[in-house]
Amino acid sequence: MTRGRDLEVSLREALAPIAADAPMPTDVLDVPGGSIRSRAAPATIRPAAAIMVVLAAVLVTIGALSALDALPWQRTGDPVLITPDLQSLDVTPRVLPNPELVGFDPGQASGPVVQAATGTAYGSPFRLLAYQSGGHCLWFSYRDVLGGGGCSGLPQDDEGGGPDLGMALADRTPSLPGYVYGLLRPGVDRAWVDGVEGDRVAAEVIPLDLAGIDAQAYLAFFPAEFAPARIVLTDAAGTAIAAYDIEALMEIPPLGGGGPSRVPSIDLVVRNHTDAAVEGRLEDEGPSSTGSGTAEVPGCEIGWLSSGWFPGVAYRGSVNGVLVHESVRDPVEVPSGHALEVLVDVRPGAEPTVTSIELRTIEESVSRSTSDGRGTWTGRAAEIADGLDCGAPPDGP
Amino acid sequence: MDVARARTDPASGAHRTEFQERFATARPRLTAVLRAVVGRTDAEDLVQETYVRASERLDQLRDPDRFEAWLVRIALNEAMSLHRRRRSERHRLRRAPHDVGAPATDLGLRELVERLDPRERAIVVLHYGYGYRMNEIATLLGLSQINVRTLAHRARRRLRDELEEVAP
Repeated sequence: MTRGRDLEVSLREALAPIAADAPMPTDVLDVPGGSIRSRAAPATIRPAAAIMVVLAAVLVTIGALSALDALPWQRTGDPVLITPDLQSLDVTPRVLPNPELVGFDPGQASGPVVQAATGTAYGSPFRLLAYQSGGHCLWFSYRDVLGGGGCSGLPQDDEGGGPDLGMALADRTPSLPGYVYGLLRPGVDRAWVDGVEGDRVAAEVIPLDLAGIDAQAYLAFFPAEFAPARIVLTDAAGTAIAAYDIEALMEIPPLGGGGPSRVPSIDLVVRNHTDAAVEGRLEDEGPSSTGSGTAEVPGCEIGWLSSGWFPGVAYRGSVNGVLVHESVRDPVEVPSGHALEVLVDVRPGAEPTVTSIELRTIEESVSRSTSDGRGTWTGRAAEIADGLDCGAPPDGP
Repeated sequence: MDVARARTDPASGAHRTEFQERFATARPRLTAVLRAVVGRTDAEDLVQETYVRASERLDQLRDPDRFEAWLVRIALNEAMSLHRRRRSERHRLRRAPHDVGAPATDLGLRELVERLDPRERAIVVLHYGYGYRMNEIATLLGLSQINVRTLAHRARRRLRDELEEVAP
């Protein structure tokens, strides 16, 4: 009877009287989102069942970070301290005798696996582990991220001059609470994440000597409406030592290259047409660093994992344990300012299939939509979602 | 600045009286919008909930001229919260679809919309009734755009399926 555009026309006709019968205030979109939500409990206003999974992980290796200069920190007033919604927090490092019990593959580690932090943030449990494996590594699980992280050298070994931070990983998915974590040189007393509106959250700083790592881990959570701008390091008295622009972490030049300053990326995009959740995984392995991210894509949803793309690094993408993309098998040069999008479709009763591999500009890429803090989703994400064909509706949204 | 001292105490006399008066003025429109977007059943409860939340957050109202718009935004957020609280119960109901709800045979399109999941219904009404774009609905409901698009996709599919049942 009613299909496609006919349905849309019918809906407009059927519902048009609503706007006249119950007019909406004309300025309803002009109300700032923060003014209608309680910062003390932001989890109550975000979609608790956030049904898309987006992991925007930017792995910044030591070499890449050398291109990042510490930015002068210009204070224009006392920042408003935001207290993240942490239901529990334990930052006492301890060796995990059986890390496999928390989902970590102990075969990855060449030494002790140390739990640096664990707890519950914004209603979801998290865990940060540190270990060595040909480099100094962090592993993090939280929300839809089943486990991810990376390995790199020590911040203080970088010859680029004055680095305080090692690798940094962040998830700044719009509408969801975010986090930043990474490695920090020893001797820094405190770390903060400053927002664009002059607000600030404190990062936990955790020594990693138990793991044999001569560095500290830092970890900060922030509410959905917080737009992170920079990581600020201070001494014990609160005097600023350095500040690092988080946006710049995504805009540093690729290793060994000059040229445009926007770091290329690889996006493993999973379009799940089935009603069951699938697991996506993106790994990278380079001469001085490794990284991985694993995320769950619920039924009838799309999700993606992103990583900075660097020459000489091998990338492997898999879905439900099936290897779907291997960069060494299918080498592609990803220029600065571009993202390599590997789109994988998962259909009922079939193995995950790579539908397309395309180069897109960063602005047109699916992952770019997560890079501006509280920004909007890109058209690319919407396009991919529009292609979902899920058969019977799942049991609830 | 001492932030705590600068905040208006919503329970204090003058502010509270003014708030109550302005809320009473805005209440009819608020109720009408909520009835349209989330349905008659929940509208009254949500108006009450909005009153409580707004009085708690009065210090966050940055532009007093946008009081009604601010109330509507709070109400829509509360509607989404209510939906989440009830979700597990609905899941149980959906597993026995023949036990709940009336058959769709005699229903028109507008009635079918009212039978949608609350979030889907809100999106459909805001888009096709009020003409808001998907990104604007995402802002209004505190959802991501992709979430809104996915829910809209599902809603259209449900409506299409229901309509085909009525007139195959």
